[in-house]
Amino acid sequence: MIGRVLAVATLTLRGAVRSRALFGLAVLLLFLMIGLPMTVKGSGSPASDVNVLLYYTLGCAWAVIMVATLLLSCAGISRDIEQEKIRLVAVKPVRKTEIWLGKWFGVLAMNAVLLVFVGVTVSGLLSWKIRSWDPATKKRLRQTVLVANRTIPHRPDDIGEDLERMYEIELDSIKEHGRETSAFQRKRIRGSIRHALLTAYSQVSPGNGKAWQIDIPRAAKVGEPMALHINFSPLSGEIRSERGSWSLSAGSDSELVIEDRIVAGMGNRIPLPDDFVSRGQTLSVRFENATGGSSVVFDPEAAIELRIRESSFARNLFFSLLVIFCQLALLSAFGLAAGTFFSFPVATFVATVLVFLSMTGHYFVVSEKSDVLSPVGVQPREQSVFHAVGETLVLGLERISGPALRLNSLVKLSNGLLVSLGSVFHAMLVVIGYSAVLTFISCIYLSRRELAA
Amino acid sequence: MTSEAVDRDEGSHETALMIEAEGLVKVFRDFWRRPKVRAVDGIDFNVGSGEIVGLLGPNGSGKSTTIKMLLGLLFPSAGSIRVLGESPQDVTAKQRIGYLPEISDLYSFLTPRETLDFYGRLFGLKRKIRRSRIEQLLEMVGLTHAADRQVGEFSMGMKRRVGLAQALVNDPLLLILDEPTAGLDPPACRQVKDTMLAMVRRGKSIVLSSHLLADVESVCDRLVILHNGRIRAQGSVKDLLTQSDRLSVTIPVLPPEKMKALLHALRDHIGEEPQIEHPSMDLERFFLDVIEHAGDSPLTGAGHHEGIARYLDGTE
Repeated sequence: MIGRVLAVATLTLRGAVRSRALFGLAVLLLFLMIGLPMTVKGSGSPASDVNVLLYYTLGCAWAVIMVATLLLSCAGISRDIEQEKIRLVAVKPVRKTEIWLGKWFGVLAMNAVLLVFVGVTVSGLLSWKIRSWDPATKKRLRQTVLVANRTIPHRPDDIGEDLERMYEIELDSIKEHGRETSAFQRKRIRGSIRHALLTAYSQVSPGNGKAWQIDIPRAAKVGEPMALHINFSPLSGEIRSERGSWSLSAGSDSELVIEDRIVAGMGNRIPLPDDFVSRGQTLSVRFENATGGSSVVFDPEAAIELRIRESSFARNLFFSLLVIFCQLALLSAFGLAAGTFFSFPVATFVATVLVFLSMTGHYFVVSEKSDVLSPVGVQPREQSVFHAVGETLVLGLERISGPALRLNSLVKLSNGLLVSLGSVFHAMLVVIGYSAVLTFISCIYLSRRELAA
Repeated sequence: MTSEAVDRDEGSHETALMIEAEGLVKVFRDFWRRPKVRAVDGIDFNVGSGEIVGLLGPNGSGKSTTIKMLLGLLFPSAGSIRVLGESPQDVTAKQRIGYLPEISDLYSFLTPRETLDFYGRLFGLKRKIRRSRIEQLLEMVGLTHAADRQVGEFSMGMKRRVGLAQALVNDPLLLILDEPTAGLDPPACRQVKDTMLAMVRRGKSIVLSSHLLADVESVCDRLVILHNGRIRAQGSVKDLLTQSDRLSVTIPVLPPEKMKALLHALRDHIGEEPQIEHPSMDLERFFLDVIEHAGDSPLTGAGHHEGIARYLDGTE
């Protein structure tokens, strides 16, 4: 079986090479990766330049490969059927599963080649970019962006009781207005109240303070460079800085008091000694607002976090590309499945629309979590049937595709955060699970489909 | 069909009947599943081991549809088919079938060598065997010189030869050929026929669909003539074509007075005027003789064909 699968896979890859699709894509990606950092400017700092190169360049490369993957995988089987080339293959002792898997592995091989090309090019561009910077800047970049830092968040604020109480009040208020709410609306209302509560808990008025606690996991790699990251969100969007006093303690030996300014909307970072915390300890952090007259509002979800160097940037880039590879693998399985059921143009249209709707649904869900859609106190409007069906469809698609859409490694990579081996395995499991279902359905259909007219 | 062919042991795959089709019906339907065309309408036929059966019929008579059902590319609407004792969908049966479609649906970006290697891999042939067979087949179809050019650059005839080679790569027990000589030059046509005869001598069976009646007549043991999806005539070529009430006698050319006496005697015995003509060689034989005797201008390149691949005529 493996020999036949590999034969079909080699054929698919050879087709991509000989039709110059692979070469064309490589040239396009090269232009993109070189050209984009020249046109998209960050804040001007080295860290921001690296961030642009990693996030936007890799993001655009990912998008280009994604489109190419969708097109090639949709064409994989549908074009062979339309051009009747599958006839000569299907009359050989080959199972439909072998044809399907061979096509899939062929597209995967093409993706692997392109991602290796992207990885090597990005690494080369990074090396070229940082070579002219001074050693101090390089060192700072290796601690902040060009690194794989493990993030340890603070314990969440306990808002449970307040949340339930305010949620009941809000629902009663809606009922008094004689309106019904759908499950999705109730979820959004709850999310909005939660967000509002967390925001309220995250405010520190002048002269007051707030304390957090960070539990250092036993698996954390202590003794490596570490820093406390502070996320201070501006309320009105303007860039402001506030004075404050930070007290940090872990055990009896480690104590630190720092008078510092924190700047809204910027990455605020307090470097700590390498041996400041040990595994299993709790790091206590307290902030005192020393400003004259304004409140400081921290990020409601992640006000502070401890970042400890876990691994090298090269490993992080490799793992990040592996996660992207998994996403592309799933997309190609989806495209092949569409091409099994429909002709090439119809398959491409259907696959594109479904991917778009899934991503839209994902955006809704993410926005709902960050309280963009439904502020507290705004009464939900009456839903039309059309709206209800559309909402159900989009959110249903999001629910199905959510595990795949949440596999996002680029944000972590470009912020120097660890893309763990666990997240790579998780991505692989998602791909294997979903692809097995798609393979099964497609092969059943393919074996029942007449392959000649 | 020779007794040598029948006696040759082809191992456990050999069955008395290579193909058994009974009450075969194929109805093509439209998008709404309404019957559109009844392409094959209740046909029964068998193909035994070591025989060449010709499927004849005008365009749209159901020949290609029948072949596609034999290969499992189309599913019968009614009736049953057994190929090598198995369902046409069965993967093990396909191991011993070779198929040349009407239009060579080859991957244009592959070279002939890669094409044969790809199909050889699908048959699970070992690399050493594949390499040996590929070289023999390329030599046989006269494409050694073009083995590393992409098929997309080839003429129709050259593509046809690659198609024929891929149909033979597994040394099939049953060969199904749809218009095998279409687009081929006379030497290549002769070679296709020689290949068929060599294979039949080894007990293989061949189903041949062609519009070229002379080709069919020269190689087939039995004929199945289709029209509008039904069998209109079926039997051995000899039975179908022999005019049992007529006889032709070939003699050397005689002097005029002897000829006159002979004709007179014949006229007296048969009571009608006998037909006299010089026997003529068929055009294909004449053409091949001319080519063979061209002497100082040997056919090179695409026109040059070697004998049949050794593994196909059983000498390897």
